[in-house]
Amino acid sequence: MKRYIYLLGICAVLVVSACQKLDRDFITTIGLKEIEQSFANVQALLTAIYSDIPDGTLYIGGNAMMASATDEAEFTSETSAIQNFNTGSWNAINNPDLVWGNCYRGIRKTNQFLLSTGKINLDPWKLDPSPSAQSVYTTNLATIKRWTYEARFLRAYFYFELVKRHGGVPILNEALGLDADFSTIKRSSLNDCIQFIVSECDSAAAQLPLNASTLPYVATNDLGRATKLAALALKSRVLLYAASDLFNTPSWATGYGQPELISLPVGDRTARWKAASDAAKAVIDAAALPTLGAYKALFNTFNNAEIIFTRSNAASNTFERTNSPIGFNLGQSGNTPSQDLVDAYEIKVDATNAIKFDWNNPAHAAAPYTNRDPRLLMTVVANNTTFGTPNRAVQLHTGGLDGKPITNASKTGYYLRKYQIESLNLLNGNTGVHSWIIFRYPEIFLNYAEALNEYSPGNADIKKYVDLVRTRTGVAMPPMPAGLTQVEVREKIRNEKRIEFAFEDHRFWDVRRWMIAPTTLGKTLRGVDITKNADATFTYKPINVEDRVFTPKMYLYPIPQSELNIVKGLVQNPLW
Amino acid sequence: MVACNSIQAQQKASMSSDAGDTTIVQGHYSDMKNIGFDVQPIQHVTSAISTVKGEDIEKNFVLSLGNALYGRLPGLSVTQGGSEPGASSPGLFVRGLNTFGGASTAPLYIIDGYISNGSGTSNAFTQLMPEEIESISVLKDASAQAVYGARAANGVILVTTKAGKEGRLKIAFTTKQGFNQAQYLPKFLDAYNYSSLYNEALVNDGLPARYTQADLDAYQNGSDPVFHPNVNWYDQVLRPKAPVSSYNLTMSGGDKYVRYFVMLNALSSQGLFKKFGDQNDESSNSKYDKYNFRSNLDITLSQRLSAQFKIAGSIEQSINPNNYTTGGTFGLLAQLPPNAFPIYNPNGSYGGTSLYSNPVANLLSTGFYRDNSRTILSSLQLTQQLDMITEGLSASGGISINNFFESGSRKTKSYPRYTISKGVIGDTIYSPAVGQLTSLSGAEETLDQYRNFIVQGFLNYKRSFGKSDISSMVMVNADNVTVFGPASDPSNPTANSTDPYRHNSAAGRFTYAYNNKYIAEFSFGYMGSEIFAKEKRYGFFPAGSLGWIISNENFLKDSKAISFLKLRGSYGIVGNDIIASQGLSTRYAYTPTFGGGGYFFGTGNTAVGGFAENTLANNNITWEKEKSMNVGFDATLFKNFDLSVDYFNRDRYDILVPSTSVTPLLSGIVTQNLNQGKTNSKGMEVAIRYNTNSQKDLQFFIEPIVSYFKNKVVFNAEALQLNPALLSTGQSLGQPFGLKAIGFYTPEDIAQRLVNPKSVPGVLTEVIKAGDIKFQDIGGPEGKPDGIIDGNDRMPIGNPGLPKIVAGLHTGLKFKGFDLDLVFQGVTGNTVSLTGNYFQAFQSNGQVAPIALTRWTPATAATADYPRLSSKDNLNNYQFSTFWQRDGSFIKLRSAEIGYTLPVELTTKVRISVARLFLNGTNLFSLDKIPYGDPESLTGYPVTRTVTVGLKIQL
Repeated sequence: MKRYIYLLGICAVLVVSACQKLDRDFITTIGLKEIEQSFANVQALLTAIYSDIPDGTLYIGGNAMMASATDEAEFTSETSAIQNFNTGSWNAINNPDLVWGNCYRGIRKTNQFLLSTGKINLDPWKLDPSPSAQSVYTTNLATIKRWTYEARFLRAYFYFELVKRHGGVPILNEALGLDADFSTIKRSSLNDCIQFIVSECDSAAAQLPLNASTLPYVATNDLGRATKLAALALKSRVLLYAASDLFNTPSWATGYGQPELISLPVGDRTARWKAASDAAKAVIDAAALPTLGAYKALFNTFNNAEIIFTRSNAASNTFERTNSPIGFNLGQSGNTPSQDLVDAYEIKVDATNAIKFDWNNPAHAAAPYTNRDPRLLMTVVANNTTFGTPNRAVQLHTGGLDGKPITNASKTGYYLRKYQIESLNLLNGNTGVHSWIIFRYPEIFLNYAEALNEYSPGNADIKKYVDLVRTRTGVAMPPMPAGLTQVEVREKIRNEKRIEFAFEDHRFWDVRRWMIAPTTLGKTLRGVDITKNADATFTYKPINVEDRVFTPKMYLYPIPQSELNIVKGLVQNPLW
Repeated sequence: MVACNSIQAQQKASMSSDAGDTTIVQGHYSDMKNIGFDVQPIQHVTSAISTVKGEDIEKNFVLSLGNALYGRLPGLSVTQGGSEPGASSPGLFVRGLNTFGGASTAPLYIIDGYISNGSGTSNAFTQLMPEEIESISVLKDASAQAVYGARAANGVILVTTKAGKEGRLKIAFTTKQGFNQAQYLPKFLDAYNYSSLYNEALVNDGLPARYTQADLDAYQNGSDPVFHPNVNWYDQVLRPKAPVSSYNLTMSGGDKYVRYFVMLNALSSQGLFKKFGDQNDESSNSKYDKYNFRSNLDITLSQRLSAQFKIAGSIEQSINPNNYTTGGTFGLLAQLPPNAFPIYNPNGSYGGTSLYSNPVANLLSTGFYRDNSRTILSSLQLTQQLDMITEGLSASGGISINNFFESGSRKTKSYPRYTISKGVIGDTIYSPAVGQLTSLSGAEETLDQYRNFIVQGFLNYKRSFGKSDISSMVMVNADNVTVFGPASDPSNPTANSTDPYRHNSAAGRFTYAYNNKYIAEFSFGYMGSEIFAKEKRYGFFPAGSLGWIISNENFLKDSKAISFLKLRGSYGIVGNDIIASQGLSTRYAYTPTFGGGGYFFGTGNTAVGGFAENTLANNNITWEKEKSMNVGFDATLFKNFDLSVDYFNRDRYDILVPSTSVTPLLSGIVTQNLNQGKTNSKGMEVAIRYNTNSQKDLQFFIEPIVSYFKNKVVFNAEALQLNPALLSTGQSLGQPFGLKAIGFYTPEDIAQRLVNPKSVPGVLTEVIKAGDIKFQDIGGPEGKPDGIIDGNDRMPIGNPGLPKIVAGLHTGLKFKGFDLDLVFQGVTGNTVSLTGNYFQAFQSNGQVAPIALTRWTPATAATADYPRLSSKDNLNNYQFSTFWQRDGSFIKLRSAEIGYTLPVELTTKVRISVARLFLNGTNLFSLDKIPYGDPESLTGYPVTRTVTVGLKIQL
């Protein structure tokens, strides 16, 4: 019997020892708790918020720019998702511009970050009485405080990106967990959203350094961070949108049950224009104005006094490969400027006079690229102008190296030059930095002029700031004529905005807020047909490239259907 | 095999060895069936289990055990893997597929009670030889699986190896000698036809023809093999037959103290490549060798204490020319045009171009590669009878240690190849060399290794009281698998660490049978795994089953027609805990992940690292579960006709799916996986066996089986679609979507398209010409036909996955000394898609197969069944569409063996008890609807058939 008990004992020991622990032996990943302990790691959380700033260079599907969904351009590949905007086949299920999720991702990160900043362990310095440690402690406290305003500026920017697309959106200022009740979330009114963004801009502007060279920022390390100027610039843009027609004219969506989501309360338009004008003036007055320098080079740099805020990127040549003419090494044609855009550039007659380009004028039609606003050929690769590495004249005529009928040659008769770093040898794999400028001074000037012209027409500042843009170094267009009517000035400013900011993702939104989209986006896009004559001259003839579709519902994006299905409190935008 | 019991099955089983059943057998039931962690009298089995005996699968020549199971077990789908010796194993699936996404679909393998992990050829299961196997069972329903808890939902394959029996030494020696050969080699057009068609394709594309009439003539009459070569590359690389052989020696016997079963096996198969090693010392002949051993000992230590010790292993070695990798060589063979270049240039150098390497040189002059692997399986179990406490009680404990190691040794070199052209005076001009001659350099690599350590303890109680039979078992199990090497997570080197995969479990089974008529059983598994959060670590998996042996009721007792009839039904819950990639970086969903989110600051655009929140910590992540129901009956009619029928319904839930259906984008939470997916599958299995009375001279048996399943996605959180026909929900698992071909564009269509492109729908990516495949315009971005053919026009087409119906037929006869045994496998309800160079003319600079001869041309428009030829990668014609779909049904003769046993009177004179000569064919033929190859393996290494003659001598 003893033996059995002995054996049973062995079995019992075996069984008990078999029950191993099931915890992980070691952790190889870092969690939020570990991150929040460390000053440097929390800074990395902030860095990650910056990485959510949209980049417009390779925006839709990794290649198309939003310009190709406007009258600025046509994207060459027919199968690109961007074409859905042009054919009108976009909707709540299929929207090529996926900003909703991306911006809310940045908003979540900010909300989480603002909690984390309170948990950083500064005790090693705080508890160390040595003066050097105490000084680090004080600096770190100040830095953490500044971080929160950087983050809040970025969050405000994300909200504005949502608001300009969707109108009023839910304002979420906490990071919700997987098990949160999402169904009760509701859209805030457009007015609340605007007020929220403006107030966040005000807070950030009050606390952030003026620019990247203002202490404690050191440009070598901090260029690209949110600044007071950036916060003020965002406020200027937001208030301009708030004063413009779209958010003050709910009649495009007559019968919509919740007009507060898509328009502001009926109120004093003049006051709104004044607020917009004041906000722009605040940027202008915040610092000494930079001299506007070379136009072409501006878009190949991220370090220029004219730039207020930019989206940084790693060096790459994807943009060149996407947009280079089809006859160039690795070129895919990409975003090709339209004749409509090209026609908008004025002809410089002399130092004081500029006139509109006119196809019916035989002299204009015979030499369409002569004496044009210099920004034209800095933005557009036109036929027989040189481009790229190795450098050669681009042959856009029918039968040319870069023209029809080559598969995927430009449909419009132009290629894009803006943003392209022409010195890159693509076969050698050369790369360059393409940053996406979000705010630069000329926008503020034109915001100011536009708002001023609406509530104080004839104000001398209008001409002053429009001319600042027109007469920049290397452009030197004749100043805007004096004595124009308010309507004429409005047209001049709109045209200036279109030209100066071509391909910078302003047009898509400007034509909406001006409510001229039906006649600009809803009409046939044009290009040019180029014939090479026997005497080596060229004949240019405008042609229709694509019939475009715009219906009023497209003033705003639909709320994604997948969101409506989960968040029952959301209301769809009108007409979708 | 018929999964039931019957008088006949009992007879059959009692003839064969039952030594695998080592636990105590209740006295009055001699015929036992292996079940999870135990054995059970066949009559009392109330769950769905199919079994095949080892001796039945010996009549094969297979390198991987799974290949012996085609058509043998109802409910088990066996899909053919590659045929390259030692390189792959077939896929085994129990009752179809029932999950999707990253979750494992593989069954759990249990060898002699201990789990055997590893996938593909690294699983010890694939290494075993039929000669060492007592039986293989497939546990198909929850009642059979529940004791394996969270690992059982994909089915369990239970292997029991042979054990020695008391008696004198029995020695059996078997050898098989033969060859294997390709069942089918892809056929391509010769140089003349290739170049004529290529000219036609160029002209179709609006390009000038490449070959002149003189070129074509030279190809046709073969007058200029240097500049107008016509090479059949398959013939240059492959030989018609390659030898195979095997030797098997088993010894068994014992006395009342020690019983033993010992096996030694050596197996060799040479590959189909020519003997390149004989031509060049720096290459190697293609060869695969496997050596197996097993030693199973049962030791009676005392009246009540017994021990079982098993040790087995296999050593595999394959050697091949270095650049042999199946895809590489066979991809090139399928692509390379016959006139691309001669094998050797006039000066003896290798032909080749910058585009194509030379397949002969690839095998002859690139070195060689040797792959070695070793598997060790060992276990020790002690069993103590505790009848001094109460009769029928016993306890046992065991440990098992398994090890697997695989390494490779690569000797590499490269060679130059030259393109030749004809100079103006007829001389040969050599292009600069592509590639250069290097000397042989070596590299050693560890490919995979793991170690398994398992401890188990049991308490069994089996006793009969009057009319009641009670059987109960409780056990605990702890296993610990340490994986090194790429199998854990090849993409992440830091994950190749040794954080072990661990399970603790307890299980039990209680069976009560009354009067041998009514049976009730309850079983459970309680299991925990380290991959889940602490509070969600353990799960309980219960199952119950009932059986009613109607034939033991008085009203049927005397029935002549019904010898045996049992109804049974079961219901229970089982789980699948391999729910995602098992690499260290992804397997712990309860720890959050941060990463990415870097940005650029400063005048130098300096990259700065970020911490972006990735997946949130999700403590709720858990294993998949399945509610599994099974009803069936087993019957024996007229004494020698067995019938077994099962119907099942499986509802799998808690499958990982993206969080997109419950977590809105506005939460900002990165899409992660939640346990929300659901599937359903249903099906049935029928197994029939008929055999003649075993006393007669002519004995005959026939055993057909049929399995059927269908599955569907119930919920998978997929993205919304305007066109509901594109939703996967409600479709079969893995349902692909493609375009519907509706003939060819006519010249009138093309004319019409010039006027209005949208009036005759077409793709935007290609200029459409007459003779291109025309597709139906089903939808558009807004769900309506839009005049454009694109992804919106897709619809569900075909079933490339497991066939819905799998049938097997095992039949044989014995007449005097002769015996015949045939195994057929048939499948239907699946499709194959013809893609790549084998079928799509001139794609990727490839060649052209005879399928393209019936191409569309203006003259043959009415009869054409292949689109017009195009010299480029045509983006219209070669899209995934119904045009390239074919019915994947087949009937294959998986094994056939004819044998002759010498008369005993003769053999006993030389003290041989059995001497049998036999001729065996494995994978002899396939009847199918694909004239271009094997429906299970259209590309890559050719499917092989093996023919051997053999001799078995038993002393």
